[in-house]
Amino acid sequence: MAVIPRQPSDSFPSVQPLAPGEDFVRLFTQNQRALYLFIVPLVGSPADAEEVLQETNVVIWSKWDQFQAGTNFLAWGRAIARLEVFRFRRRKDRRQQPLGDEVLEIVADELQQQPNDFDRRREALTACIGKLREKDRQLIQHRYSEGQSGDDVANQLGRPANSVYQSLGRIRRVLMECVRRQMASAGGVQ
Amino acid sequence: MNSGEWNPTDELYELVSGYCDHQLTNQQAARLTQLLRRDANARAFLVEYVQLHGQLAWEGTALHSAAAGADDRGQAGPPAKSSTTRRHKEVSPMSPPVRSAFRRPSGIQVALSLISLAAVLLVGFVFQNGAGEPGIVSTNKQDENGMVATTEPAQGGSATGHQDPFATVGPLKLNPPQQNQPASGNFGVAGPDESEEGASNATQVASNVEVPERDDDIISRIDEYLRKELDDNHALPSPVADDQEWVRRAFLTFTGRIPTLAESREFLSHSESQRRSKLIESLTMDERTAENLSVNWLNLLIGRSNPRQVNENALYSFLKQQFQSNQPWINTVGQLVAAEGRSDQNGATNFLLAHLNDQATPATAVTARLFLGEQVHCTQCHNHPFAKELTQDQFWSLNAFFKQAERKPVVLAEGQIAAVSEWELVDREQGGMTFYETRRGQQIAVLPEFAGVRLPKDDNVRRRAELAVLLEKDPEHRVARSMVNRMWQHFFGYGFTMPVDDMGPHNPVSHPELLDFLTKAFVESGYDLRRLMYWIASTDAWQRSSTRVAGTEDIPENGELPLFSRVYPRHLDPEEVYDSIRVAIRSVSGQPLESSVGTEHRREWVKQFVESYGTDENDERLGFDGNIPQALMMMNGQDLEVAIPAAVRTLLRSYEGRTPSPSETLERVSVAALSRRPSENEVRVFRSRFRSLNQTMAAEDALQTALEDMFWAYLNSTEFSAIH
Repeated sequence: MAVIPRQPSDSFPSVQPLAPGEDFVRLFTQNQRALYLFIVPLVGSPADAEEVLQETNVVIWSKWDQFQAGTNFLAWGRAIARLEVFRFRRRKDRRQQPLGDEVLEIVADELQQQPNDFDRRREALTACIGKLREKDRQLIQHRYSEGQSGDDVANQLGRPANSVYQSLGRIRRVLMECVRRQMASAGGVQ
Repeated sequence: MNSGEWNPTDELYELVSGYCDHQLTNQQAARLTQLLRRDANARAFLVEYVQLHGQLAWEGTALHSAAAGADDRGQAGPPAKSSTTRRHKEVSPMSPPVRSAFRRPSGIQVALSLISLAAVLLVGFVFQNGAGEPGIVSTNKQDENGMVATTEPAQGGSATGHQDPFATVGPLKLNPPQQNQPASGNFGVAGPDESEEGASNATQVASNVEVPERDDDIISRIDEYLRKELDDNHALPSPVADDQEWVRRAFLTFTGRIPTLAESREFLSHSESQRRSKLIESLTMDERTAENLSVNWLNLLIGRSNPRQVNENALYSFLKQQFQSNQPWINTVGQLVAAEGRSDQNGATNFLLAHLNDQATPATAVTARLFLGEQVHCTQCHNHPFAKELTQDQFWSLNAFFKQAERKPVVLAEGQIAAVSEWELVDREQGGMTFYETRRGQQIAVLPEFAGVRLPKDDNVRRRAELAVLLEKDPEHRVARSMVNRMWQHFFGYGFTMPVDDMGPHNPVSHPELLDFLTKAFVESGYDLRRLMYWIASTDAWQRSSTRVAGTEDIPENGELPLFSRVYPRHLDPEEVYDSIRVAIRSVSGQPLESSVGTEHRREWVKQFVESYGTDENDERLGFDGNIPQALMMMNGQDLEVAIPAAVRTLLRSYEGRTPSPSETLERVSVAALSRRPSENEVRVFRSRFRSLNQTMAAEDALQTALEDMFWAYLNSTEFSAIH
């Protein structure tokens, strides 16, 4: 009676995982902020950016098995986000989009090359907010953490909308220059 | 990324800051684009700045707490789950921008809630067999089928369950919608109570908006919604139209023809502040408005060419009776859907008679398009590519209601088949199953189902009557919404969606809150068409001129959604042209207008322009762009060739012996045709024509001829053939 030879185990195909593993989930979480910051200059408004991020996440999640472990997750995610940004723009009212496709494509190219130093930026920003004048910090608080639009803030404070927008502009400028200085000094944040 | 030497200018700061706040004017946007395009530093600056802005929003409270370096991972807040659900609900294709009226969770919370959702999915993935669709999207599925039929609170016996809408309302004394007591009793639904409930039972309300009681307040709210959208888009409204332009528009919109001289004069005789509201009130109640509505709906329901030879007159009479007595629109819809009997005895039957074929698919598609504002015909074969709610299954479930119906020729006398135009619409005893084939070749059987209510497989059920009952409940107010959209388009030239009968989550709405509000108001009024027209016509917006304000971009012709900064001009329909020409002729001659304008003759005249495609849905093409020369050439030229000179002659004779000045006669003609005085240029042209004619003929003849020429020219002008 012939003995049927057994197959060596390494010729069996590796078992296909049915769900994304821990590593994927960790990468996903870690890169949320970076993806969001990739999207936001392309749509202008944080609310829209969140919406596009949601849609990007849906796609990322559905294609988890196409991501090769060990490769650059952010680059992969940005490519997906980029497509979602332009899909979003096509669906939305043309009136609400001040910038044209042509210039945004260029900006998107540049954004894809942006280094991932967002954690450091965040720390710098935190420190800089701590240095703001009290009134300015409150204005930022109203506008951003309470999710109000500039007009809402203006109403609440009884100020004309224009002047609120100007103040916000000024404060952002101050913050931006502060963050730059912080980032320039050898990464030290106190 | 940061160049040491380059510094952003103040201008760039201002523009980028404006970009973040959605505050840029068109010029600023163009300038920003220009700066960005040519300068990489400017782009880097944009990125830096907007990312800062984004970070401030994303981090939310995390940045502002004293313990700024706190572990933000601990902030998976309880609101996260629900806010995600709500957020996901808004993330459907084409959803309008979110207005931030609620407290938005920070980006971190959103991300973390996604993680917890992901954890759920991990489990799901393990047990499912890897269907492509991620679970996140499926939780989004709206329950568009709304209400399952529940027991309604019984409304009181009085006319409409709610308070008489006109008891405390301003000057308007409209009749509240009357109870539907169809003479032929063909409605077929058990009990008169059904129709009461249909009219006043708004089971599911579309939005949380409160509708004020008084008409004036409703009208103000509409204007507020419009104004807000204009402001948000930095658009200026057009100025108020002058009375001449407006009175012509009002008569054309309501009654389908231009005003007579007497009517214009009467309008102007009232005080300036009162005249428009008085006219709106009277036009709303006018019989000719009901007639015009009837003509429009006749054309919508069965088209102008009537290839199936149904009884147009009977259907027209039915419609006119409904509109003239201000029946709730929802009742009219119900009757059209459920009608049975002979085409000459129950006019409403002619709607379905015009569209029934073996499979009743055209009837299904037309019903959905006209009454629900949904274009479903392609879902016969497959699910709608964008609108998740419009599925093949739904099409056929709706179609199943119509399967029972059939049309039979009527035998008038023994052994004789009746004249072709008499039919009978009946329902077979057995409804039968409806089968359809999916793209994958599966045969699926459906029972009639609409809005989540499925009929039992009982053969003694009259399906269309049941459908009418379900439609009258109007879940999600689709019937109301689609009528509001159409009516708005009738007044303004464009509706809130383009096209007006393709509503759904896949098609953007220009003013979603306004549409919700007006829909709700319409429902609460009991589907009262007169009130709806009154509201729309009384808005500030409808008083505006049709000319565009320089610098305001509001051009729906380009495919953008309208802002209603003005009333958009449109071409007259052939019926309107026909009637308006007759009015103009009468106004010139000074003879009174006949009361009935010979609709038979008009309908024959209109048919010249219609090419029927002979499809089951009676598709037809209207080859009429309002261009009168085409119309006049194709018309039996004799009528006008005789009527115009006769009218002018009558006019000239009416001056009783004295010789009128040419300008005063010209004015009469231009007011008659265009509701305005002649322009200087027109006067000049006229005078020189008169003078040159006078060289070869007597003055009276020269005047006659010159006037006829001007009259023809006016009737041929684009100004005449447009409503604006």
